[in-house]
Amino acid sequence: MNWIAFAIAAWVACGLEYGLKDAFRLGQTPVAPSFLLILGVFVCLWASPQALMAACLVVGLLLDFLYLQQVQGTERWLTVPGPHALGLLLGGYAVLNMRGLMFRRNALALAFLCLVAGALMHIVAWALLYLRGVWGEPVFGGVAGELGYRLGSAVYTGVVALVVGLILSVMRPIFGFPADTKRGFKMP
Amino acid sequence: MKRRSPSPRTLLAASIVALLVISQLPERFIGWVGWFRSPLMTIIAPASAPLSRLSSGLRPGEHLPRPDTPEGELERQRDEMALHLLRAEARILELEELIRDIQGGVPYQRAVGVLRVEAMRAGSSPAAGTIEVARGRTHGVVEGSVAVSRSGQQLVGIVTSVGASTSTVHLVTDRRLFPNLLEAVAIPEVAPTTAEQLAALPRMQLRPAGNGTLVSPEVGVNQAQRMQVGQRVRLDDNTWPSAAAMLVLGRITSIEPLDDPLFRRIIVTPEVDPSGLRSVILFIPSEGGGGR
Repeated sequence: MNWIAFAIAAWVACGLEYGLKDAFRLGQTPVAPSFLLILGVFVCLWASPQALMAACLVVGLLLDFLYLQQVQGTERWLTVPGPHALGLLLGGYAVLNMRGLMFRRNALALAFLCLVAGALMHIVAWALLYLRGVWGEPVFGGVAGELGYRLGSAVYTGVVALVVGLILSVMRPIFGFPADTKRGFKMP
Repeated sequence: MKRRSPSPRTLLAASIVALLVISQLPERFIGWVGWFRSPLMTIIAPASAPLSRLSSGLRPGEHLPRPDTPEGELERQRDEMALHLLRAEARILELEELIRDIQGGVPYQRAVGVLRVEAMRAGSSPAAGTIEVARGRTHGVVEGSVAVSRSGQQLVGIVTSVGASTSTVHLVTDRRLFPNLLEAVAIPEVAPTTAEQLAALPRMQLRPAGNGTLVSPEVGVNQAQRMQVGQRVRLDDNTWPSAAAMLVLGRITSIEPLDDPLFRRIIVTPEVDPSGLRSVILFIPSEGGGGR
């Protein structure tokens, strides 16, 4: 995989994630798509197992660093590295196992896998942050509400991935995935 | 003997264990991690800031009066003068209280000046109820600085985290704002001209409702009868920095009866949507210590 292309794509995805999230959110709720998640799942669809795990860790850590967690009942804000990174790692592993069953070139495959990986990522992140609150600083109040918003965001991300997937599929050769660089068997 | 480098599988397992441990460590052990966010935001800001401006265009939070129209300019000047007048009256009340305190033996503390800096929005986090603005420590921003809209002196929020070149503003409409009770005063169309008149105005305690409005769940019927739908509500809360005094919280959009006939529910809607602003003005305490 071309890591420079991945770094530039991650930078753009961070910009979209942080810059456009407010325009895309549903009404006054925090339900909004995650462009970084779409990038992560796109890489998981095409990269080698080793590269996709590294990419998942990077994208997950970017999400962890981008979004501060507020300690409940205070104005203290924390950067908690781990919850999204580990969540996306599990999501990426699920995509790795499912991608063989999918028609990867179809935008629907990316949309569906975004939903699955997003749901897994958010469940793990929610669980780790909740667990942290049990013996440390609680970072969200309404436990069910928080999970609901997160799962809603995963569904929304899947819908947005239908459009973003088309753009990413055009850009796929730049990433230099093994499927695009390896030539088939040829007689001399 | 040749040293074997760890296999990718070992590295992955080690990363998972390390992240699992770090994610559960108490605040005092992971405070240092926050340092890495500042350079990251500096790198991301050039990509997110233009998109954030596009986002404000798609979902505008305020409609700025055109500066070239005389109506817009007059409106701006009127708002500015009203703010100065109300602040002066509030200051008189504060000084009267200070005199009483000094007479009672409380030591005198110098007032803090305010520096105004415009900051473009560089991003937002709807889940956290915050926006990121492109001004940081290098521009003199400190925690506790107050963010105000460019038009109408609408209070947008308070700076809760400061990086090298970006800062995080916690929006006043977010339910997790702490403390989330805002002391406010309803100002009639004709602003009070004396400190005594200001002190006699109806007051309420507002809290963010979570849907972009502020709600006072129980206001005494005597106070509520002196309020009207459409009245401007301003912040008059000692727990906030002095730079936030008398800034606009919104307008009363509803006065609802409750089961208990002695109380009313007041709903205040901000004049601009704090999350959709293209830029804000930061009121920075010029001598530091802008704490709440």
